[in-house]
Amino acid sequence: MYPQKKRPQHSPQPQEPSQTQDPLRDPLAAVLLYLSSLDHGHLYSESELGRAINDCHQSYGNPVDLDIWYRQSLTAAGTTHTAAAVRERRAWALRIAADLARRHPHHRSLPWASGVTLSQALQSAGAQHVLRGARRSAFLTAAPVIGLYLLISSLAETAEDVMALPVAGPLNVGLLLGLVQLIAVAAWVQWYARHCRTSVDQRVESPGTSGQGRERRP
Amino acid sequence: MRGDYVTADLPVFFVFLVCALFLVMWASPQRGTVTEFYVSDGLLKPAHNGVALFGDVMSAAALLGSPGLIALTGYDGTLSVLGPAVSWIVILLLVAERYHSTTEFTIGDRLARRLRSRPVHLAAGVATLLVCLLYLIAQLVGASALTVGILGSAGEGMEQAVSVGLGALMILYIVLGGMRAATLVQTVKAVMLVGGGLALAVLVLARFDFHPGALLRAAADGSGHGGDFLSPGLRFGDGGAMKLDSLSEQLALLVGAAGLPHLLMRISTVSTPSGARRSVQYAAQLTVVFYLAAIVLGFGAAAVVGTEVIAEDNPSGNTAVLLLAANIGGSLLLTLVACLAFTTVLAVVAGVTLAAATSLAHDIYGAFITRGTVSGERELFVARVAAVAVGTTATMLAVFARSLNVSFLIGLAFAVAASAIVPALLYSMFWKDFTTRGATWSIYGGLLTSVALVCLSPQVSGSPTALLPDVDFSVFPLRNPGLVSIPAGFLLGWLGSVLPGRAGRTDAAPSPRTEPEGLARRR
Repeated sequence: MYPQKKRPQHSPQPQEPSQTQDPLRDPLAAVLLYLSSLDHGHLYSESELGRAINDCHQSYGNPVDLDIWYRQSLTAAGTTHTAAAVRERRAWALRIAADLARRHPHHRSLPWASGVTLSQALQSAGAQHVLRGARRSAFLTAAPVIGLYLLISSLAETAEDVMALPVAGPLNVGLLLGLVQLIAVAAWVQWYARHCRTSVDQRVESPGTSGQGRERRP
Repeated sequence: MRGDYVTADLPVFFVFLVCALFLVMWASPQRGTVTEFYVSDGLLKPAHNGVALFGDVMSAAALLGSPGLIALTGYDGTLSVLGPAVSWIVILLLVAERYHSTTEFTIGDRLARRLRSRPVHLAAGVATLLVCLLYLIAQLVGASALTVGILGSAGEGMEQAVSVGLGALMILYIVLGGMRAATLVQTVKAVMLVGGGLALAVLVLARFDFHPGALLRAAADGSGHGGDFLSPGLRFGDGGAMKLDSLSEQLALLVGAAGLPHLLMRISTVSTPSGARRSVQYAAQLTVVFYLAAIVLGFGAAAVVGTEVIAEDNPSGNTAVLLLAANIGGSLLLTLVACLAFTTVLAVVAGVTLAAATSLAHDIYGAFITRGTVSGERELFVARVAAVAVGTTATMLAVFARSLNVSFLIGLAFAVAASAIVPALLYSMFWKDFTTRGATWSIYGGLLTSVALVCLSPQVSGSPTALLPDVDFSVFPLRNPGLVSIPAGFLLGWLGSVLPGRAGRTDAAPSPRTEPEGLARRR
């Protein structure tokens, strides 16, 4: 079904996992290979392996789902024949993942190939949770600034008398709100810069979360 | 500008043009790769990119249009600067980082990351081209309309030559230098714009002993409207449709900026998502500073020159800042502001042309026609040819369409961007069930809805100021279609994704399975 490709030059050492080895300690790349659509009886080029891992990574979306389906797959072996097939596939996935990690030890754009384990990926998912919280607070603080803009637009259309109320000298409510709006935008942007520096930037640099690397064409 | 008024110093103006030409030579590319041509290898510093991003947003409409509108309509004009300032928050929160980390060069790349490549690249390419062409024509028409204002009687009959000259310069910039040249001219313009705007604002305030209250009082007196000048109601009156029109325009300005292709492209010119965020932050701060200066300039023009004189000179108020500069600093200051206006237009059209050329070469030629098999060298060649083609087309259209209203074209560009590009972009970044069909429905649907509604609006027929004043088929009462077309774009994207049938998502999440496919095949 899949085209047969040349065997990798550096054949990795076979690695037979024991039945009791914690799946959390398996590299993320091995988990993705195991759950991929590749046939472990065939040989694939590195690009095919990379593509299959990426596709699988995007299909499952998050490490929590990966963990669930991986565990279910490993424990779903009912018959002796199926259990052997599962073990054989897991060994194949571990072997290929180890080979990929050896070839790309520090490739930041391929975190799945840099030795990140499933448990580390799950920890990163926890960091993602914190990140989501940080982003939520950014949305909540932005809401009043955008709300002020909508309020000004609405009042300018519907409550001209209110906007014309004098505040100080020729300055009226409308002009004051406009000034407040511009200052609020500048202040929010300043706050957001500090908020991201302290809450977001450190976490997005943690392993397993920077999977969106830039791969430029020459 | 009236013939008896101060006119620009022609020698100074020509020296400026020669300098602009030399800038092209300075901006020549170094490696000749598509990545360098499109996004300067993604290696710009966030602060530098932020300044250039600010320059991308500040078109001639911001420098001349906004103060002009304030000088004519007072408080109502100030609303026109609030929308673009607030739109930075939308870009920061929803677009900047996510877009940077998930795209290569174009909007099509971002959509194709999760969806079928060819249809979404084509749709994004078509929408990008249309938005860019509308924006380009608006800028070139606006520049030619200012020619007489700046050059006085010497500029009569030169409007078309100015359009063609600007068009030729922008093509030269992009063909020779790509993003590097666009960034250079944008940086020069942004520095000039902030410096010039602030200096002029300080000169205006100095006239009133740095007392803002005195400036506002003088503006109210100079406007002829008295206290009403500082309150809402002068621009849109009491008509219900006009008020809805105002809301529609505000919505398009607020949302549309997040879908402007040349802004999105510039977000990709830094190396990291946090760099993209910092770029937007710098741009937002500069925008707020410049708009504060623009408000002073607008009220200053009403106070110093007088609303009646401004309206008599140019009914749209676009020459208000020029009149103000001539009044305060004579011919030299007028010339400097004129140079600033031309640099502004040149920088913006260069950026927009680059975005259009990139989309044509990368989305339509590279991804749709050749299915991604084209080499980098070939794509670079096509991008340069595309820059010439887009630039020439826009220049020719601008020459023929010089009677079109500039704000109408800008409003339409924002409305199309907000209706066709923003929904697909946001869905693709935030909704995992978004499909290829949803994307194409959203883009083509938003595009057709906005263009069709404009065609049926009073901008095109049925009013004395319409394009076709002698016929009347204006069944849609609003001049800006955003209020209807933006929700339509979002609705179509949602419908296309949730309706049953072949939705066409390439990487739809697989149905839950308890064993891998490969294992199943082995048994």
